[in-house]
Amino acid sequence: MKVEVVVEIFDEDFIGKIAWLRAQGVARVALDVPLTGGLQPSIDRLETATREVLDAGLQLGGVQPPWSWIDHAIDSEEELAMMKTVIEKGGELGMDCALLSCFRRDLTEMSGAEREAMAEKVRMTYREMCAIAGSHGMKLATHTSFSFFRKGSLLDTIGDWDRFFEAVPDPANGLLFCFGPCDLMGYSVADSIRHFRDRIHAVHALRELPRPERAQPDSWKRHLQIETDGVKLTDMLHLLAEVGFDGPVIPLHVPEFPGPAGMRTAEAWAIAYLHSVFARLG
Amino acid sequence: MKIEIGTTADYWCSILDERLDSRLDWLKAMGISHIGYEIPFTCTDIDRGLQRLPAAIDEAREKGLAVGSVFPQPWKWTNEATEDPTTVDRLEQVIDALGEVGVPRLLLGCSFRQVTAMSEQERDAHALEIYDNYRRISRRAEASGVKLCTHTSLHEGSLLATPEDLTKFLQEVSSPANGLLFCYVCESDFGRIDDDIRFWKDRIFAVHMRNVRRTPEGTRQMHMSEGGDVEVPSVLQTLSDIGFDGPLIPEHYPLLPGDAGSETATASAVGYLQAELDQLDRSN
Repeated sequence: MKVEVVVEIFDEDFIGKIAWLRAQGVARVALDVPLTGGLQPSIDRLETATREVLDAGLQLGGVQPPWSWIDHAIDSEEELAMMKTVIEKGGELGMDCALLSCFRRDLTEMSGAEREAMAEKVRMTYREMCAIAGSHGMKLATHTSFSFFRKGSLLDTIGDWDRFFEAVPDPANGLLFCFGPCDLMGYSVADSIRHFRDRIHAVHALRELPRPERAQPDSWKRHLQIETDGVKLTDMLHLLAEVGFDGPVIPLHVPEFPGPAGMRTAEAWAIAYLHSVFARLG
Repeated sequence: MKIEIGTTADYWCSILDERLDSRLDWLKAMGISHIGYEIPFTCTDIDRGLQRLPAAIDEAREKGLAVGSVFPQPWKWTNEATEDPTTVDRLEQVIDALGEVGVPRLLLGCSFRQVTAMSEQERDAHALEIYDNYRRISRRAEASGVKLCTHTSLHEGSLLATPEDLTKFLQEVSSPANGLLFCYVCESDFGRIDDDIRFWKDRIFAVHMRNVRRTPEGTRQMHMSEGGDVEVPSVLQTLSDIGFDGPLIPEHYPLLPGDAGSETATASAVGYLQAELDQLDRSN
């Protein structure tokens, strides 16, 4: 396993952030491509950012198209094409994984036929994205949002994911496994790791998980210190190693520490925490 | 074991420092439960420091932070005591104050004076002075329920230059209140760290945590998460094996661009140590 940190390509202090990550011992960087300003400027900037990462002595990890893009792009061939272009460009530039948000549109108002048509469109899109990824030796890692905050979509439960993988069995299709929503759904995180095993292509790591009664959308930024009933990041990382996971672990949802260096201190904390665990895992 | 940290990013800040309140908030947010305070005890500052101490402890407590130790300034108190014998009187005042407010540990530097150029008679007199001063403050510490934690600096050419010198010091001042702030990176031979921890086990009251890489060009401070010449997980395991339950105090961070206050370096040290402690819990 390795620590990977996502950096937005248009970050005003991109080079400074990369240098800072290197000083923290981070070896891999994933690039977030928000598509602000249109496709071509983003692709141009992605190419430049890639060179800057490599020039700094860091490795390329994943490429991250705009978060939640698929929710609205699913209705637009043009927008879907933009997302695929980002993935393809990432593959061409040597990135090994596409970090994707989960399709979470609420479909409860749809008829059965409409819902099935939408599901098939999502599945088709994934088949196409798997083909693109596979041609570049990449994997897709789709976030396990489940349905804690929003119900009535296609991938609300573990059973939904199982059916999704049956429908799109390409080995490039897999998960960006996030402990938080899994626990909030009442699933055992450990059992879920054992269940998905090889389908886990990347991990969003949290040291401690939020309790459901505290979980609000903005609480994602604050739960590093929240005590839990027993799910520990160290245990889950050891379990991931046991099931053979060797991919990127992305420290995310770190709390905002007070003070002028707030987010950086929080990131430094999380990165060092992961390095300690990985050193013991060998 | 618990992580204990100074109230500012550059290790410690005086309880008189105006940044104290924001530092306490920052440390609490990072998950710290125990902190250390720096307190001045020079002739001119000691009264202000001691008057401020109870309120500073209350301010920490209100934020959920316990004050585990106090670090008096100046650090080289044994040198000061040679020049000004009232230094020991003032240190006793600090110890009394700690006993009254329930701070369990006093961190001390010791013996930075070079003895190699001294005659044997001078060296014996220097040793006697240090031991006598320590016997005196140890009696006060015992009465106050305070542990004295003397930094294992092992300065070459000083009275306490080797682990054997430290052992002699602990024998000469055998009070149970007299012990060590064990700084393993000060050992010249990292191969004996684990053995020394076991040998001094009941006299280690606090531990300085860091890592370094020694090269022909000099010693470079490292993030503990980067590794270094010391096997920090092994040190922690040995401390756990001997039942050490005192504070782990990170210090001496690498200097990074844009981190003049060492805030991210401090956070990195705390994150690393928290993971190590979580894993020790897991393996035990």
